[in-house]
Amino acid sequence: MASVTLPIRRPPYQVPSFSLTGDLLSFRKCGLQYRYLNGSALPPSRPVQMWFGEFIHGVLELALRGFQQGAYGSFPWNDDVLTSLCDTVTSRLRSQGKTARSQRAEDFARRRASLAINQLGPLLFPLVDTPEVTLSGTRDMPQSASFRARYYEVTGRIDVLTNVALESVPPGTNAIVDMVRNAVEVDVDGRPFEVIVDYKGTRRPSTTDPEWQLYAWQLQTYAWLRQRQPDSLPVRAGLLIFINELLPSATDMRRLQGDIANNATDVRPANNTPDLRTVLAGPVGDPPFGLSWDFRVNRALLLVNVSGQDQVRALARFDGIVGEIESAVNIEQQRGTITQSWPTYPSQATCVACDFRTMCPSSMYRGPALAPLGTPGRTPDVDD
Amino acid sequence: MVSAADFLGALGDVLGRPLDDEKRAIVISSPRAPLIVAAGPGTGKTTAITSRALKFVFVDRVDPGRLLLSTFTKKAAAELRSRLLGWGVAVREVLLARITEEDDRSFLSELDINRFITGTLDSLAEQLLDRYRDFETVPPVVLDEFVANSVLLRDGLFANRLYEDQDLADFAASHGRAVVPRLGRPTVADLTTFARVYVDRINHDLIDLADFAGLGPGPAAISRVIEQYQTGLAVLGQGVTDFSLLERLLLDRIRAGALNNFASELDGIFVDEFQDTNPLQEAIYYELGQRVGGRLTVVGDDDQSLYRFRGGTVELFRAAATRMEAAFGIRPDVRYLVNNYRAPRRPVDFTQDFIEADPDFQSSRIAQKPRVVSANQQDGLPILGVFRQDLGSLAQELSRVLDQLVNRRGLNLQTTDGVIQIRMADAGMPGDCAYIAHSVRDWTRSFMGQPPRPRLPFMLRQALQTLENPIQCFNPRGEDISKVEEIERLGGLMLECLDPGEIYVSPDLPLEVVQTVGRWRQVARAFVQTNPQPNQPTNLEQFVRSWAGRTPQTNGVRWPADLPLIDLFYQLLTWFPSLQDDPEKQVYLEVMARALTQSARVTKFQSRVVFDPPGLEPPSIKEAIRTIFVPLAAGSLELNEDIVESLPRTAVNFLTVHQAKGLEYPVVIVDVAAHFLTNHQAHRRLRFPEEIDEVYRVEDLTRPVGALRDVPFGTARDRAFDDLVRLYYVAYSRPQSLLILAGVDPARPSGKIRNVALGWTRTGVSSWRTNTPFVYI
Repeated sequence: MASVTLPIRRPPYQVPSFSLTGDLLSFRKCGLQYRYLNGSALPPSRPVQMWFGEFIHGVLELALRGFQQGAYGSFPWNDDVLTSLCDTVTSRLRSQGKTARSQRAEDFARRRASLAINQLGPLLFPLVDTPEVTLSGTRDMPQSASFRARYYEVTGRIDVLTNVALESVPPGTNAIVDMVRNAVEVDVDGRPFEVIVDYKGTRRPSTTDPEWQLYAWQLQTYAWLRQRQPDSLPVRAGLLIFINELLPSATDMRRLQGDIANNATDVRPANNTPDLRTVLAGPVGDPPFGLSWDFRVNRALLLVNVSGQDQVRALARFDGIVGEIESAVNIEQQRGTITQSWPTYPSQATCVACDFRTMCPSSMYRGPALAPLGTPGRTPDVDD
Repeated sequence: MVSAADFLGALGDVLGRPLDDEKRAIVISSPRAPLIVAAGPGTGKTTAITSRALKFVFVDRVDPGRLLLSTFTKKAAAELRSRLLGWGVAVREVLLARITEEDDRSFLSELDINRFITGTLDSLAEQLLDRYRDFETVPPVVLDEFVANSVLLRDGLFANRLYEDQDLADFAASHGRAVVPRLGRPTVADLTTFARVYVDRINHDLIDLADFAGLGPGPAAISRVIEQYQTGLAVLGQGVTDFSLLERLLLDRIRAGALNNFASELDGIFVDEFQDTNPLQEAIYYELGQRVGGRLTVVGDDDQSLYRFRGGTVELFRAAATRMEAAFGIRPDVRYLVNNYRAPRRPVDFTQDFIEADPDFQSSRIAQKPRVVSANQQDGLPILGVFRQDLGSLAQELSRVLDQLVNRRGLNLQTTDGVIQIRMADAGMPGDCAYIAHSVRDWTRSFMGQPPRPRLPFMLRQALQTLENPIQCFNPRGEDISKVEEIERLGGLMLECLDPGEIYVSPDLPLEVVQTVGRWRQVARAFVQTNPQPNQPTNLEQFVRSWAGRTPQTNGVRWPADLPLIDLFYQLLTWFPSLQDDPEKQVYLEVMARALTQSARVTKFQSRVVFDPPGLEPPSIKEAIRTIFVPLAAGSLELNEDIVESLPRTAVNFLTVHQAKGLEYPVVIVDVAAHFLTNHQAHRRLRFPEEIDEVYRVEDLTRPVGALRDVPFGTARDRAFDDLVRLYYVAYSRPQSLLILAGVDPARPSGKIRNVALGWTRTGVSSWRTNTPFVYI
């Protein structure tokens, strides 16, 4: 009797792609939430940070294009220009189904964007050599026989500054340039270099927050990716700009107070300064509550030195996160269950704003939803 | 320098076997000349295109950032990119281990494989229109199809009451659209889908709207609808577009020179699945191709073209050599891939005999196309035919075969050559088996008051689930979205919360929709009565009652002035553990969430319900029902199966032929005639299409004023037959080993029911009547 053994179905060839912000940082916040938002493509009901992040990137990109074309003259740009730029981006986001949580939140975002353009723009825009550079690299997947792929792709997007532009600025006239000069050792032979820039639509994290380290690793990884591109120069530093700090909200002020009390920030007002008194008094009046521009811009800017060793550490960390994601993907495929396959990192801050808090196995809010807001402790507006 | 031999050697090591001669010829064919590759099923066309692109990089030292590769679907694009990156990195590793020349090592070390530009044409259009725009121009915003159709309905048809235009009604009716006697016209929903066909066709075929309007009162009427629709899109915001307009915008920008900088940075363009390209897409590729000196490689198979209904025009691929020469002034090289690595001789020969059987089809194929042959030395299994008296016994027999294979790990097959034992591999699973059909819907549609009847997918699933060891099925498209239990419950609960008095569902809505949402409410109420968990310290009934009375369940909390509907959706999800936990049900969750959020793009209240001021509550709820629940109930939303990570191996996969394109399975059951008990006219278009369908009418009407006016076309009837042959050619070429044809006895080839899938030619002859090429079991 002839016998034929059937083959098995070959799995599709895959090199999974991960964005540093959208996937890796998001997974570290909460694996299960990441599964629903990215894997199931479910939209967050309160995309406060997401909306503001996209809004600020959109407005600054548009402003930079305008600056490079000489469209709006010298700074400060007038209100009509600023309003028009913000309108363009909010309209675009709205037609993508993305809106601010409230009119108040949108107004506040517009104030921050205007400040970023008119006060940070004169410092930053002349230094930008190439805006919106797309980064992508392929890395070995952490080893496991059960993973679906041997490699993975990691992606990101940055702006690039060159030292040619930096050199043309006299000392003491530009906080960004001064910061780079102080941090980056200039080679004896004067070899050209780059600084990469990323904006964050958040406050400067506490030094005890996981984000503090993750953001630094993200910049090291961006630098690694950038240096692999043929048109790049050696990347000597990365600059993070925390846009919220330019115009802190009442919540930001209270968290800064906490950071100072807990010794959990690297940028605090000097003793006996009006800024320290303002912070300690708490949010009185309207943002920026009397905080000086110098203090705010100092808090907004974080320069990270790029080094080979730090890159290796950062890449190893992100490799590890990819390994955790792939492990969860694999467990889900084997078990056929989502909730038992993805790790959770419950925290009050994450869970209170999470749409899946009443059904998550680890959530402190697990249980029957309560009309109309789902759970106690949540307000209709959990943004600024 | 890395030589072609070095590269091919390294690639062979990475792939585990060297490329065969036909692929090597494609890889080393001149990078400077246009190239057409006609590749049969299972012959490795993606391997060929990937290898050629990598050869450009490793041997010709073309920066990968100067190579653009495009294909038809997001999944195919992801796989293409995966292969470029994975194979590219692995080839580099092999070469670095072998090559000692310092210049080459330096080149390889610095090579940035990730710079390949890849994607579907839509995704590339979005990227390019974003990147190469004036600073005052906003990037394009592409509307989801159902949102775009909402705009078409509101601005195209309702504005100026064009839906009542008699010319439009007559025009739709002339295409076979059913006229509702009470209205004297097709339903508004039907008019919307009808108008969508022309909206897309006008763009796909590069038709001037004024020229089209001049064709008669019907075209003039639909042109007015299209004009109003385009105005409606513009009002939504700068850059707001649908998918077909997006590509037309890209072509306009290329022709205006706005992408010259981009084109000047390209050294080669590769297009996969070219057989389903439409005239607009062809124009984009040829415009770019002209700017890169004709360095365009197109790959496809005219015999596997399936997307005419979306504007795909196989005639463009068939005539590609002539058209490319006209575009670039260079005669393209034409290569064939004929070595099938998927299956042994018998299934491959069966498939090739099928495509060659109808003499009238041969003139629709690329001229002198060589026959695909199996590269496998073995004969393999004979093709099996399972034909039974009726649907029920057919389902039982198919389930018995699958039970034998999956649960008992083998099947003994009696043939004229003796008994063949078919064994499942040790690692074999139900997901190694696929059921492929023209449609995988569980139920027929209700018609003239007749209730829906079960179809083979439903009956086969039932039979498999009642086995001693039940076998699971994966068929997310089997059920209408509106009939999926979880969607019924969740939709009904949302309506119970939002509109407890049932006062906002307008009686003007289509009766079917009103009945559906009524059913949802009943299902939801019954569900509430089961007191589902979690039910401590409060429960679902209290939650719904609280919403109905607009009374918060928590002390000290005020009912908010407004709430996004997605909030309510997520809160109700608390009582749906299957939607929370089952990976395969995420498609249902996604489609509901998409309906809730995407409709915000085009609505006044942006998917929120407003409680304060009170006067806004009724209109905000009415708007939600009209823009969210009605499309869901009417089945206007497509499931997004891209979010299913991979088709499950734990369940038999049920797929339409279109879904199955590009996939392969060890065991494939093709439904060739399960529902053809009689020679009924209603299903003739699915087996012997003598009447002309809408898609061919539209083609014939628009062709004289479009980009295809000079392209030789067959008659509408011939095109319909050709397309049916192609459909079953794709289905028959899916198995890696075992192909089973399934049908009911009256539809056997020896009977009188004419069926292209079973060897009938368009002249009404079937050689299968006397010489059946499969074994009945």
